[in-house]
Amino acid sequence: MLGIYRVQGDSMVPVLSDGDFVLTLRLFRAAKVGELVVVKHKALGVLVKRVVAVDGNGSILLRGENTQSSSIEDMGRIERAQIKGRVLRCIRRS
Amino acid sequence: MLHKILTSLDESIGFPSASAHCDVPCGIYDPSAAQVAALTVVRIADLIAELGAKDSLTMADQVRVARLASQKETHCGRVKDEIVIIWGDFLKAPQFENWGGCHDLVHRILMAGSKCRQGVSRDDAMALLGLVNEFAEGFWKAKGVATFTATCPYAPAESVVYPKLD
Repeated sequence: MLGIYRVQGDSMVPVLSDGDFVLTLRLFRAAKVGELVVVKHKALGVLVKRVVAVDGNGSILLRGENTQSSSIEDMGRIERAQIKGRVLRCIRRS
Repeated sequence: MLHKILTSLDESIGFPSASAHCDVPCGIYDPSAAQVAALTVVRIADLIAELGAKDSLTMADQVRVARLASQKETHCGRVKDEIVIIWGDFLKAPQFENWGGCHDLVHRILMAGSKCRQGVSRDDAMALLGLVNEFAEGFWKAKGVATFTATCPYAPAESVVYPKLD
C-alpha cells in the first residue's frame, strides 16, 4: 500500500533531487496527468517520473522535469500494472 | 528532520531506490562511425596483403605490419562498440518490433568483428562491412530516413550505405 523510495538521479530537479525520499500510495484508479508516480520500467528499472498522458486502459506516458531526463519516447508506454504507486509526499533533503 | 530520520532508517534497513533516470541528452546516434571503422579494417587487410606479397620484409616493413595489426584490433573493437551503443542505447522496443532480425544482425556483427581481429582475411573484413551496412540501412529506416548505396570516395573504395538527406 504505502512505499518509501530513495530518489537517485537528477532528472526530476527541481521537484526532486538525488537523495530525496518519496512516500507513495498504491493506485486503485487510473493515474492522472500531472501526478508523480513510481513505476517499474521493463528496461530502466524503478523510476519516479511525472505522468503526461493516460489512455483508456490506464497506460501512461512519462516525462522528467528537465532536459537531462530520458525522453517520453525512450521510456515508452507504461502499463497500468507497472505503476507501483503515486507520490503522496516528497521528503526533500533540505 | 523527517529526511534525517528516513536517512537513518535507509542506512539500517535500506529503502528501495527510484531512479530519476538521466541520459546525457545528446541524442546523437549514427552508424557512420562503425562504417568508417569497418572500411578501415578492409583497408588494413589490403595493406597487410601488400606487405605479405613481398619476398622479404625490412625492419621498417615489420614495424608497419605490427602497427597495422594494432590498428586493425582497434578498429574492429570500434565497430563493435559503436554498434552496441546504438543497439543498447538508441534502439527500443518500438524499433525492435519493426526490425525483425535486429538482434541476430548485431550478434553477427560482433562475431564478424572478432573474426577480423583474429585474422587478416579481406573476405572476412568485407563480410563485416556488409553486415555493418545492413545495420546502417536498418538504423536509418527506423528513423524514417531513406538510404542509398555508393562507393566511398577513398580507399578501399567499397560500397557504403549512406542516409539520403535533402
